[in-house]
Amino acid sequence: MITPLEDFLNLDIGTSWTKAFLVSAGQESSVKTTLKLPTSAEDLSFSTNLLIGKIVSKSKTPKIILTSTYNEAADLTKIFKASFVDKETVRNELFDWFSLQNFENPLILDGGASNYLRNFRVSDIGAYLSFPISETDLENIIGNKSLRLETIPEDRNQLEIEEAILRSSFSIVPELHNPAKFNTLIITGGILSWSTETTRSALLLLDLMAAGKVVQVYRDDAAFLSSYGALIAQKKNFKSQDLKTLKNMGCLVSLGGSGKVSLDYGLSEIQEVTISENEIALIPATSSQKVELSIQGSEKIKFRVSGGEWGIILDGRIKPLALEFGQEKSRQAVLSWQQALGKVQLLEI
Amino acid sequence: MICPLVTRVSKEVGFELERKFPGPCKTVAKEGDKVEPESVVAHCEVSAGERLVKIAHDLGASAKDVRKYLLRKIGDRIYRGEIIARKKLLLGLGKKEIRSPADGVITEIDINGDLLVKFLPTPIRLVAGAGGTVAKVGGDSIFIKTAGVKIKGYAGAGRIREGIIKNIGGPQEFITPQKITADCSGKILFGGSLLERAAIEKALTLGVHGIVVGGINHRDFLSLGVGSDIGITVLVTEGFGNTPIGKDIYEALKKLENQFGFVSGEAKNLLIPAELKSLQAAASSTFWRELKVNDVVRVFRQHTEDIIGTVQSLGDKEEILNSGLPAEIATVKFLSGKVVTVASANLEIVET
Repeated sequence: MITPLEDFLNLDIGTSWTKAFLVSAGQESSVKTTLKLPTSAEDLSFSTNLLIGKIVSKSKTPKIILTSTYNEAADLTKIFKASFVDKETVRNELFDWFSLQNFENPLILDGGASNYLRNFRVSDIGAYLSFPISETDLENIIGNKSLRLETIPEDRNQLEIEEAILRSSFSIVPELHNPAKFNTLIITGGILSWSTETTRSALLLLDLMAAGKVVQVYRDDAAFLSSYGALIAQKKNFKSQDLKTLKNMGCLVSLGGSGKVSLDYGLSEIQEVTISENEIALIPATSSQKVELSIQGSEKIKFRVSGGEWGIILDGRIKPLALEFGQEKSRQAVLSWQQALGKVQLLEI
Repeated sequence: MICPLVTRVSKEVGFELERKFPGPCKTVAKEGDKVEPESVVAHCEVSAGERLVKIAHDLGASAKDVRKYLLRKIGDRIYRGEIIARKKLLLGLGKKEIRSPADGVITEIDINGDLLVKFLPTPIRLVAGAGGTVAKVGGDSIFIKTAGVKIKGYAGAGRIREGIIKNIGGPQEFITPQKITADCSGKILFGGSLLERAAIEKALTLGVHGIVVGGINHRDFLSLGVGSDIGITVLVTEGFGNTPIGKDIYEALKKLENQFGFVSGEAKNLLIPAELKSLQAAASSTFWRELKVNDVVRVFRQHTEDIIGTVQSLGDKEEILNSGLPAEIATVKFLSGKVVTVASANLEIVET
C-alpha cells in the first residue's frame, strides 16, 4: 500500500544531465516538480545535492530514489539516504510495464548523450544536413560536443547536426530494418524528449525505417522514463498509476515508394489512401482512434495502430534514402522533407 | 544553472612540477631540499640503443670465420673509430678493417657473423627546472614544489616537455609551416587560431617541444595520438576548429615570453615557474558552481576573439531557443562591447 500523500524524489543522473522529479503519491498520483541540471561528472554529489535542495525546500522530506549510468552514483545513497536502482533493473521494470500497457514489441530509442561518444562516419552524418558544411568543420563541431556533452544546440544548424548524429547512431538498430515486425517505439532522452518541434523526431525515425515498416511511437517528453522505471522498481503500486509518462505520438508508416494504404476505423467504409513516390502525407487521427491499417501490395499485411499527436504519417520516399554528403540535391531533399513535416498540425490527444 | 568552473590563467600559484627520469637515475636531492632551477637533482643515463655491425658481409668472410678476424671479444668495451676487425687480403694486397661506429659494448656475435654492439648510455644531469623544494622522490620521477603561472587548456596531446616560451603569431593568425622557423627548435611556441597539420609536421622535424594554440582541426588533433606521444606536445586552449587563442591566455603568455616552461598534453596545462614574492590561494578545487550575474564566462564561438565576457543578466525561466529547444538563458557582454544571449548550459565560468 502507498502511504497517502507520500512523496518520492526520483533522480536520474545521466551522462550529461541530471533530471529530478517529485512524484506525489495518493489517490491521484502525479509528477509535481521537474528540474534538470548538467551532471557534474567530476563530483556527482554536487548537481544531485543542488537538485535535492531545490525540490525538498518546496515539499516535505520525500523518499529519494536514484538511478544512473555512472556506477559510482550508487555511493551517493549514503550521503542522501537514498535508494539506488541500477539501469538493468530499471529496464526490466519498464519492459514489464510496457507489457501491462499492451505495447507490441516495445523498443526504447534513447537520444541521450552516450550517442555522441560513438564512432561515426562523418559523411553519414553530413548526408542528413540541409546546409553546406565542410567535413572538417563538421568533425570539429562533433569533437567539441564530445568534450562538452551538456551543451544545448542554439540554432537550427546545430540541432540538425545533433539529429543527424542520432540518425547515425540509431541506423544500426536492426528492428528499424525489419518490416515483418511491428514495433512500439518509445523515444526518450536529449532532443527526443526536449525538442518543442516533435515532428522533427518523426522525420528522424521515418528516415531510418525500411520500406514496409510500421511503428507506433510514444514520446517521453519529460525524460522521466528512467526515473519512472526506478520508481516502479521500488514501489510496485505505481505500475498501475497514470503518471502520464508517455505521450502517444501516432503511427509512422514507411512505404518505400508509391503505394496504397487502407485504413479501417471500424466504421461503415474503409478509407483508402494513395501515396505518390516521395510524398509524405498525414492522416489526422487522435490517440483514441484505433485503426486497422493495411499496406496493399503483393502481400496484404494488417497492423492494429492508433493515431496520436502526429496522427498517422505515410512516407512514400524510396528507402534507403539516396542521400550523399556535400551534394546540393541531397540538401534540397532534406530541406523539403523538413518543411513537409513542419506543416503537420499537432492534434490534441 | 550550474556551469563548469575553469581557471584558465592562474598567476602566482603554487604547484608541484614532476620531473620524469629519462632513464635509470641516481637522485642527489632528497625530500625537503631547497633547489634552484639549475640545481642537479639526479644523475641519469639515457640508453642509446643497439646496432648491428655487419662484420662477415663487410670483410667478405663467411659467418663461421668471423671470430678469427675480430680484434675484440664479447663483453669488451669498444670506442667510436676503434678498429674492431681486420682481414689481410691474399698475396699481401692489403687489408680490410672495420671500425666501431660508436662507443659501446660487444654483446653478441650472431649466426650471420654480425656483431651486436650495445651503445654506452649517455650520462644526463637532470636539473630541477624550477626553484623550490623537493616535495617527493619517486621511482621514476622527482617532484619539485614550486610556484609560477599555470595556463589551463581545453584539450591536449603529448607528454610533459620543457622549453623557452616563444610567440609565433597573434591570436587571429593561422599557424602555418612558415611560422615554424629553425630558431623554434627545443622551444614551446604559442599563438594563433588554427594549428595546421603541415606546421605540426615541420615542428616535429625541427625538434619543437610544444605548441600552445587556440584551435586545431579535430582530425589533426586525433592524429597526434590519444593517450600516446608522437614527439611533440600540443595544448589547445579554446576548442576544435578555427578559434583565436583567448586574450587572457595570450596576454599572460606575452608577458612570460623567453621564460622557461613545461607543457603537458596529458595534464592539459602549461606551467611557467617564476620567482614570486607572494602566493595566491590555490585555485578552487570545485569543478562546477552555480552561474551568477557578473561572472566572467567563456562562450565557445569560432572565428572571433569575443569568447570571454561577463554575465549581465540571467533569465528566471526557460526560453525557447532558435533550435526549438527550451533552455535557461544568460546575457553576456564581451570586452569588445558586443552583447549576446546564449544558453546558460553552454557557458564555462572563468575563475579569475
